Amino acid sequence: MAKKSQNRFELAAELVASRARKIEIPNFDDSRLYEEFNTQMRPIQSELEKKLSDSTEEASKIRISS
Amino acid sequence: MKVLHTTLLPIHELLLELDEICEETYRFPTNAASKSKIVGYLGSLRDDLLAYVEYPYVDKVYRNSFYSFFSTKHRDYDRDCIRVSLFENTISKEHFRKPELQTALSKAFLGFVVVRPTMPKLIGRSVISPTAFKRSRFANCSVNIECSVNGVRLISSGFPHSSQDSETIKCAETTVWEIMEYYGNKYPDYSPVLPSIIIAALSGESYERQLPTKGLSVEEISHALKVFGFGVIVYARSIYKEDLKRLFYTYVESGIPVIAAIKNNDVSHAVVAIGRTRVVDDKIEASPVSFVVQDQGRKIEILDVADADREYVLVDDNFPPYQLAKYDDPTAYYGAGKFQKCDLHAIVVPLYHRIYLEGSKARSLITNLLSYSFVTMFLPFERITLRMFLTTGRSFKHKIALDPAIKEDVKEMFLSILLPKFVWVAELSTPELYSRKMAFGVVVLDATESGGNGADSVIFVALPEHFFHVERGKFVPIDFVMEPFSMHLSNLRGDNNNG
Repeated sequence: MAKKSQNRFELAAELVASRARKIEIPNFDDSRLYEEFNTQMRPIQSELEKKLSDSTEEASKIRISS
Repeated sequence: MKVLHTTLLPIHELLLELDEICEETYRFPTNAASKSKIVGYLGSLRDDLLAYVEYPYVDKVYRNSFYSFFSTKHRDYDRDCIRVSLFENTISKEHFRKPELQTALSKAFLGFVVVRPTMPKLIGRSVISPTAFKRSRFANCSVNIECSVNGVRLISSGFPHSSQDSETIKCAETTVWEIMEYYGNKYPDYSPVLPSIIIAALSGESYERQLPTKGLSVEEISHALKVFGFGVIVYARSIYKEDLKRLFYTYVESGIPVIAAIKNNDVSHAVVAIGRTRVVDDKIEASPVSFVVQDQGRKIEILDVADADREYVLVDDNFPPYQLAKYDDPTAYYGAGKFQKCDLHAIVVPLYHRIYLEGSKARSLITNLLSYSFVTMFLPFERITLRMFLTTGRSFKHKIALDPAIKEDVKEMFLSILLPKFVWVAELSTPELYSRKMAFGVVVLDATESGGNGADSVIFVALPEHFFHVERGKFVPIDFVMEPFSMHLSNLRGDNNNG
């Protein structure tokens, strides 16, 4: 998020947080989770990219004539 | 001097009127209209409408086909059409001349249909409101198109439709024309096209004559839409299997008209999917569990609403607009005959060219995110519905800004977030909240990310008691509280109608 809007965001977030129940997230490591998520997603996303290109090839064979 | 002929009459007298005009003006055989598909078309309209008939009418689409093809034939084809405008039966001829009656006239106007001199395929261009039809309990993509009826400018709202003339346009070209007529009249990034422009766009790709048309391949449909400015994506059923149904739903829910290629052993056909039955009519409780996420022994069932039993709204050039059919039986409305038992084999999705994150990648990001323990632990219900769609950042914020169910500080938080032009949204709800068109959580992804670095596509996750956003290579959690809010239902028109 851009810095200018971040200030407005943080102000609003503080107001909301003051009404919120505080809940601890066990073993929460913000940057490790970020990396872990990317590592997990990388092979899935490459597989989906291959699927998409196979799909284009498959569908191109269909001729619509009715 | 040429003179315009006009008549205002109840709709049950329209067929006789068209028979007479066709015989006198087009020199067609007696009862030509009564022997054509116009009978079924008029039969699908409400019985209490009024029809305003004008001829000769210059229709831009037919004129284009006339000059590029029909005028080059030996047989005489008339170059003019008949236009039938439809109204609620609350108007009279004086509504067209009195300024104080203009609001009532505009409100009563339900659109128009052009009758072409191309026997037996007489039904030409139309834009008619779903409310003019007997069956209209659905939500659909809709565009406003200005026209002039009896000298008065009026707006017709609906989805463009035409039947094929079978020589310059078949079903495939018709779907391309309908998509471009819709987008070209709705957004400044696109322009409507005419049959000869579709043919020209494909001339470099074609190795044989293009007229009379033999139809198009899915590749040619996709190519034409790409030439006209879209970032097209094609999904084949043979590759995506059951996931194609979810992608189909997701794009329709996003208000993106999708071209569906449907086939059986005898026919291959194209229709445009433009909507679905209303959210309140979804049988969510009876939906299968799509997947399960687990958190410390807790099992949470996720019902992807794409799997729900519902009908889709199809625009088929062989039928009046707004046919309803299920994904697994897309030609059910044909009844007996060679179109029976067709399957949907591929979909062509005309995306805005700056949407880089396509549906299957967006879905995998969301389902994987929901399986992460730091998200799962904040899911407060054991049966959760998942509803995914694309929308613009502006439309998303507009809905948030005006939702009375969202508290002011939460609104301010959401509205201060800089959003891209397009976002993928996943709304989380429960079957009970869903039936009231409410949701309890939302995941927002950046649709301008291509999904390579998965977490960078995540803008935020907002759940009843926690909020996460991604910043500088981290998931940032914030203590949060949010009451259920209204579902985003502005991609399609019709979910909030009465009746």
